[in-house]
Amino acid sequence: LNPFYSLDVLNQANAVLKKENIVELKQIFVSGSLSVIRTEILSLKTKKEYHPLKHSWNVFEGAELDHILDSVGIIPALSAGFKMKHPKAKLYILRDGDYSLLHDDVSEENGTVAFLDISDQWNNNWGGYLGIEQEKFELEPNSILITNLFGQRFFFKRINHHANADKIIIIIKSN
Amino acid sequence: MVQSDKPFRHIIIDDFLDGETLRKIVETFDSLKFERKDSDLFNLEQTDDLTNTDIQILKDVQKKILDVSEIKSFFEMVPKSVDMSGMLYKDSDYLLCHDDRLEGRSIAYILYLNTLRKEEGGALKLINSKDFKTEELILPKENRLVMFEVSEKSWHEVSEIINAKRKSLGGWLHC
Repeated sequence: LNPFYSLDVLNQANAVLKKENIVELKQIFVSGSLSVIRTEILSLKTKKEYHPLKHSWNVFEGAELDHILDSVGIIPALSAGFKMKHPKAKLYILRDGDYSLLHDDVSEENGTVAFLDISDQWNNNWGGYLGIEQEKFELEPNSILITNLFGQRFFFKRINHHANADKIIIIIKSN
Repeated sequence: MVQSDKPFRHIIIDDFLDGETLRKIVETFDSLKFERKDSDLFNLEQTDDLTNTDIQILKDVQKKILDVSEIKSFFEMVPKSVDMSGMLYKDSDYLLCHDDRLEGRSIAYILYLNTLRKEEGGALKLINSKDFKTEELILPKENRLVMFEVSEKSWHEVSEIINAKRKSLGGWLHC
């Protein structure tokens, strides 16, 4: 984790979260370490999930992912800084043609949810933004967006044919 | 003319308008004002509702659509009214799978105003509601009218546009 994100800074970010219901931390990993973490995470065996009325993406969920995020400091930061209890992660990889819809079963949440973007590169013209109800958030690689959801639903905008990279998102929520 | 029940009741009528009407309607279409629509389900540009337009050529086409004899002979319905808007899909625009069901919509229609090659996308995919596989692919062809019955089976989508534009008028018949 980027040493800039000390407990003090995380506590300040949590204060912003409490006030604004949303906070984004950029450059969450130090330069160079993101690619190492990404390589480790992408070695996990993902599964394609396709339901045309809900979503199309590759996913991974399991203790191995939580372990990696624990070892790189993400889980401790969310627990200590944002008081998330037993954070649990799920990996989503979206490629050309992938999407999720608002009425997806996984998209309605209550409580604090973190969206960690570990993509290699991203151009917002490729789609892939995070929509929370009517609001649009363009996640940047190497950033984490933390939000309090009160039954709001979210979706990932369909990735178009211009994309020449994957959108790699890890959603972390309290278990 | 194609009439089919699979995967749900639909017809395809080529050369729907005479040459002069088609020329005027394309000219009119190009002069309309479009607004970009962006949601979890679609990316496209659309005009305002043209149902009560004062543009005579659009009124004429609406009347011609209401007079399609297959509405009675094939769909076994009696149309009371028709609504209309213009749809313009540009590069990377799409419409994901949905069924069009909304109160009052009996038959959906699309009148294509230009032709696209298969590799340019923009095809209307009629999807089987049992396995969600595409059962019929209808390519946009200038002066082609497609109509289908709106029901719990009428799942369809428009494939992503690849470096092209797709121009159409569309809406629903209320029976």
